[in-house]
Amino acid sequence: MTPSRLVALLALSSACGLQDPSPQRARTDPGKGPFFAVGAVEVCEAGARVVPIAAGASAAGLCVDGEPPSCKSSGECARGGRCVCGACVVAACASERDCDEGELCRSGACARGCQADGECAAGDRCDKGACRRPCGASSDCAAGATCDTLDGVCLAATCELGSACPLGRTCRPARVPLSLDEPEWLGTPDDAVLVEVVQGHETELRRARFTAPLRLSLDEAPLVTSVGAAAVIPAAVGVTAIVTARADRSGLDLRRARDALGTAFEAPVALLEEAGVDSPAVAVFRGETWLAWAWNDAEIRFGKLRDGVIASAGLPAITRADVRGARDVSKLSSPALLARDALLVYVTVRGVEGEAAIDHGAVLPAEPNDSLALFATLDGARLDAASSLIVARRANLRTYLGERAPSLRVREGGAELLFVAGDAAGTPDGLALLRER
Amino acid sequence: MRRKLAAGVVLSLASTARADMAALVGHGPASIAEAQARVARGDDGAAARENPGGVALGARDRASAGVTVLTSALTVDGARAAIQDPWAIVAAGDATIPLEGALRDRVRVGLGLHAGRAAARVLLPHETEGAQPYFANRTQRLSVVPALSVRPVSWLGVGAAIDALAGVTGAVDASVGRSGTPEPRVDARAPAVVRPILGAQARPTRALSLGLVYRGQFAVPLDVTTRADVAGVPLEAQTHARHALFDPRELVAAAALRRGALELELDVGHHAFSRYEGPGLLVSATLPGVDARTPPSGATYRDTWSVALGASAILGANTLRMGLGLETSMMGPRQSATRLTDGAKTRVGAGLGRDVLGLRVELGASVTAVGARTVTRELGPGAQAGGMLVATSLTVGTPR
Amino acid sequence: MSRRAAWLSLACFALASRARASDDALFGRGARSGALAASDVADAEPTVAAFAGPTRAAAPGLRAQLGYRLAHTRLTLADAPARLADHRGVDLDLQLGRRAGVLDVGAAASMHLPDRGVASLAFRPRSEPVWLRWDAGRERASFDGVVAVAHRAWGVAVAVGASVTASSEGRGADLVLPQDERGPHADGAADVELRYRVAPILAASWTRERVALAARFRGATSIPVELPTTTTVRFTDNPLNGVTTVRLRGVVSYDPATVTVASRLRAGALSLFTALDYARWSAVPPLAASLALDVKLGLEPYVPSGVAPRPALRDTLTPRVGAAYDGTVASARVGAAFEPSATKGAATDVLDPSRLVLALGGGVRLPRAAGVSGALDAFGSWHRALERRVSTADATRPFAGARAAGDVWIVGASLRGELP
Repeated sequence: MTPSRLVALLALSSACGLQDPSPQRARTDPGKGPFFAVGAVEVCEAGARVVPIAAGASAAGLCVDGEPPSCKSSGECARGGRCVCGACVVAACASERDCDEGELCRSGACARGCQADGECAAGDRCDKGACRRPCGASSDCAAGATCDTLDGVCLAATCELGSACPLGRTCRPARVPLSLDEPEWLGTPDDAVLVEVVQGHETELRRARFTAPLRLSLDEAPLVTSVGAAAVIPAAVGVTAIVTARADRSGLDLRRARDALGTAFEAPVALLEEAGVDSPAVAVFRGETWLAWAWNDAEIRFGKLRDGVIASAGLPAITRADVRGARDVSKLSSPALLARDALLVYVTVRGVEGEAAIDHGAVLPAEPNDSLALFATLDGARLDAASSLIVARRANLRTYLGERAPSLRVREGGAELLFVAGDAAGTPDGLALLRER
Repeated sequence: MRRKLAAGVVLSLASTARADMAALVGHGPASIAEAQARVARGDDGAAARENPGGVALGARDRASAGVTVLTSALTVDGARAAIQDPWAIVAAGDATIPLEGALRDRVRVGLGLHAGRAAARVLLPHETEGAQPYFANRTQRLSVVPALSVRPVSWLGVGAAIDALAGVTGAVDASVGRSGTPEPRVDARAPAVVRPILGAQARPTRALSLGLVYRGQFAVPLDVTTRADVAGVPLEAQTHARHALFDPRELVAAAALRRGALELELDVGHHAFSRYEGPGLLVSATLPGVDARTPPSGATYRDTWSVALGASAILGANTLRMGLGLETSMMGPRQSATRLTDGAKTRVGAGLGRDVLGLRVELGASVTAVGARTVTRELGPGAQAGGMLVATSLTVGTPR
Repeated sequence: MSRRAAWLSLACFALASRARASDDALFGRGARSGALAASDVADAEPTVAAFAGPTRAAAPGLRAQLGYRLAHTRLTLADAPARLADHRGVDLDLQLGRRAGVLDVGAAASMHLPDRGVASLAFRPRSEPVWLRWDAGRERASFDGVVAVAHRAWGVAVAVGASVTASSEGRGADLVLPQDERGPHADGAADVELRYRVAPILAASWTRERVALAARFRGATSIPVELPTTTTVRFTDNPLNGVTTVRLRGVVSYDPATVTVASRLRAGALSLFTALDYARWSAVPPLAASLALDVKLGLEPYVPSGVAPRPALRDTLTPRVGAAYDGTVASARVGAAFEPSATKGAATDVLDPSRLVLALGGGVRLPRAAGVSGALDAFGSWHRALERRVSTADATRPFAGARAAGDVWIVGASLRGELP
C-alpha cells in the first residue's frame, strides 16, 4: 500500500484512528467520549452527490438511459454500479477526493487501484493500474457508463448539465459542488438537521434528512438565506425556535418555528447586537436556556435566554489560554452545548496537538489543524477544561485532517457527534459522524 | 540452600527439560521403569491417571512424593532440542473413604500430581522452527488428577478421574480513549479445560489382571484478538491455537499375569493424534489495505499405536522393575509449510524399589529412542530429527 | 533471621503484594457463613475452615461440602441500570482432622469455581469507572488451603495456610507479517506462562464452651497480567514496515489484605457472632491496565502514552453480627453487616457506595447414611448499596455529579457430608 492510499484511508476513517471497541460493554457518560468513527456522511441534492468545492470543480452529470435502479447499498447494484445517493450508477469523480478510500479517479469514475486482475472485484480486470468492468456493449455496463469497444472496458459517460447526451440518453446530475458547514441536529423525529450551505457568495440554511444511516438528503429550498450558522432551541419533541448568526457577524437573531419539525420560521427578532458574533449554540440546562457563541474567533461567550433577550450567564468566557491538550491555539470557533448532569461545552480549536514525527532521520514537525475541546460546568458558575482534546488527530503522520463545528445528540448507548471534516487548512471537506459505544 | 539445590539440579542435568511429563513418560518411578505398562496392575495414586479403575482395588492409604527429571538428547537438524522446564514435583496418594454398611471398603479416592515451575506455560513456535512435536511444548503444565473409584464386586474396580486446566480466550482493545492516550479495554476469560479419564480394572483370578482405560483429549485453547491504534493506524491481529499442551484421546487395553513374586503386563494403546491441529499459532492480521493470515500448515498427523511390556519382581525387600515400549510415528513424511518431524519410538526402562528407614524409596528411569526421520517440504528447507529422551524419577512414600 | 522477623517479613510481603479475592470476600463461604453475613470467623463450620475460620481445620473428622451460589445485581449509575453480569459458581470444600495425643491436627482446602471459567481477565479503559466489587472482571476461581493444630485442654488453636492464585507472564505473542513468494502472510509464536502466586493465611483462636475468640489474617490476592505483543511488518512498499510492540500490564481481581477479629458467645442452642474486618484498600493497585507502545517503523510517528493511576481508596472497617439457633434437626441463622465505601469523596474511578447487608438462612440435618451424617443449608442475603453522589473537582470527568446506588441479591445452598 502506498503512503497516499494510507492517507486516503486515514482521511475517511475519520478522527482519532478509531475502531470498534471490544465486546465488553462500554460504560459511557453520554457526550464525554471516547467517540468512534461511524463514517463519512454522503450528502445528496436531487439525486446528485454533494462534493467539496475545489479548484476547478463544477457540476457534472452522467448520461443515462432512463432512470437508474434505486438502491440502499452498493451490494444491490449489478454490472459494477455503485449505490450513489440511492441510485445504481457509476461513481463519478473529478479527483480522488470524490472517491472512497484507496480508490483512484480514472476517466471520470472512481476505480480501485491495482497491479493485477486478482486485486480487483470478481468479474473486473486490471487495466492501466485501475480495476475496470470488461464489456462487449454498453448494456454490459452500469447506468452512467458506456463500453469503450477499443479496450473492451466500461468508462464513465460524463456530461455537462444541460447538455445533450449521445444515443438519446439524458444528462442526469451526478456531482454538485457545495460547501457544507455548521450542521445542527433539529431534534425532530425525522432525523433532520440544519446545515449551512455556501454556494458562491451566497450562504443559506438548508434542512436535510437522513434517508439512510450515512446518507443525508438536502431539501431543495432554503429555509433562510443570507445567514450563517443556526442553533436549535429544543421542545419536548422537535423545535420551538432557532438562533441564527448574521452572515456579517453583526449579531444573533431569534426565529420562532411555525411547526415542531422546523420546516418554516417566523421573521427574525434581534437577540444580540454585537460585532464579531458567530456560530451560536443552545441547550436547556436545569430549566434555563443557555447560549454560547464564538466571538471574533478568540473567545467562546455564554448567556442565558430570558424573555427574548440574552442575560449574563455568570460563566466566564473561554479563551485560547484555557484550552488544554493543544498548543499554539490560534482560533476558537463553532461551540456546541449538551446538557446532562453537567452542561457540556464543545469548542472547535485550531492548534497543534501532536508531536514531531521522524522520517528516516528527518523531523516532520506537527502542524496545526482543527480539533474539538471539551469544557463542562456542574453549577453554572465554574467551568472545567478536559485535560486533553476530546476529538483530535494526534498521530503525526502528516495526514492532519480537521474536525470542526460539532453538533451532538444523545441516543441509547451514547451520543452521536456530527461534524465538519476539514482538510489541513480547515477548508470543509464534507460531513462525518462519530458515535460513543 | 534453594540456590544450591537449583544449581545442583541444573549441573546434574546439563539440559533443559519440562514439567508434567506424566502423559509422556509415566507418572512416577514405577510407571517410568515399566514403560507405562501398568494399566492392568496399578492401584495407587498414580493409577488416577493410568487407570482410575485400579484405585478401587488398592487396599491401603498411601502417599508418596518426589521428583521427575527429563534429559533431552533429542536432535533437530543436528542440534540438540531442549525441552522446557527440566523437573517436576511428582506426588501421588490413595485412600479408602471410611463409609459404613454396604459401601464399606468399596469407595476409594486417588490423586496424582505433577507440578513444575509454573501452573502452565504455553509455548507455540514459529512455523519456520524445526521441532519434534511429540515431545516439544506438550507437557509444561500443572497436572492435578483426582480420581474416584468404586469396587462393585471384589474383583472389579471402575473409576473416573479428571485432568483440568484453563485456556485463554478474549480480546484486547488498545484504542485511544477519552484521555487522548491508549486506554486498553481487555475482555478475556480463562475457560476451564477438562480431560476425563475413565477406567476399569479386573482381577478375575489371582494370576490374571485385565485393564481398560479411556483418556479424553486434552488441549488448551489460546485465542486472543488484539486491536491496537498505532499513531492513528488501526492494527488488528487474531492469534489462535486450539491445541496447545496437547494430549491425544487414548484407549489402552492391558493384561497382566502374576506368578509368585513376578508380574508381567502387556499394554496395547491407540492414540488419536490425527485430531491434532498442530503446535503452531494461527495468525490473522488486518492492516490498512492488507490482510495477512497463516497459510494452512499442511502437516499430516496420524494416529499412533503403542505396545508396552512391563515386568516387576519382588526379591526380599527390593522390587525390581523393567519395561519395554514401542510407538509408531505421529507424522507423515511430507508436508508443505512446517518443519515438524517425528519418528517411531522405542523405550527401555528399569527401576528399583526398597524400604529404607521405614519409608518406601522408588527409583526409575527410562530411555526413549526416536528413529531418525527426514521430512521434505514443498517450499523451503526440510528437517531432520531423532535422538533420545531420558526420564528419571525418585520418590519417597509410605512403606509397602 | 529470627522467627518473629520472618513472620513480619511474610506479612509485609503479603501486604505489599498485589493480590485479590474472589466472591468469598463478598458472600462469606458456604450457606452457613452466608446466612451469618460472614460473622462466623470465631466458630466457622470446619468444612469451610480454609476460608472462614482457619483454626477450625483441626476439628476431628472428615468433611466435604458441595455448594452453589448466585449474586444478582440491580445497581444503577446515573439513574440507569448498570447491567452487571451475575456472579455464580460452585464451591467445593474438604476438611480432615485427627486426634494426636492432647492435640487435634487437621487440614482444610476450599475451591470456588465460577460458572464462566477459571478467571475473567478484564480491564476497563481508565476513563471508565469501575464497580470494584461487582464488575464481572472480579470473578475468578479461588484455592485456599490451611493446616491447623489445636490444644484440646487449653482451647487454643493456630492455623497457617495460603491462598493460591496465578500471574500471567511470558514473552507474549510474536507476530511476523512477511511478504515472499507466497505473497503477504502471517506467522506467529507465543509464550504465555501462568505462574503460581501465594498469599498467606494466618489465624489463632481461643475456644471455651460458651466463648470463642479468634483473629485471622489473609494476605492480599490478585492476578498480575503482562501481555506483550510484538508485530513485525515486512510488506512491500508499506509505511507500517518495522516493529511495533504493544505491552499491556495490569492487575485484575484485587482483594485487599484483611485482618479480622471475631467472637462467638453460646447459650444452649443459641450462638451470637460478631466480627470486625479491617481491609487495606489503600494498597489497591491501578485498576486499569497500562499500555506501552514501542513503535519502530520506517516513519516513526508520535505515539501518546499514559499510565493508569492508582485509585485513591481508604482502608475500611466492616462490623458484622450474626445469630444462630442450632436444633437437633434444623438450624436457623440471621446476620447483618455494614461495609463502608472505600472511595473518597471526589473519586470517580471507583463507584462502589457503602453497603448494608442483611442475611437469613437455615439448614436441616439429613438422616445418616453409609456412616455419613449430612446437612443441607441455604441462605439468602440482601446487599443494599446506599446512595452515593459521584462528585469531582473536574466536571468533564465521566459521571461527575451522577448517582450510584442499587441492590444485590445473593442466594446459595450447600450440601455437607461428615464422617467421624
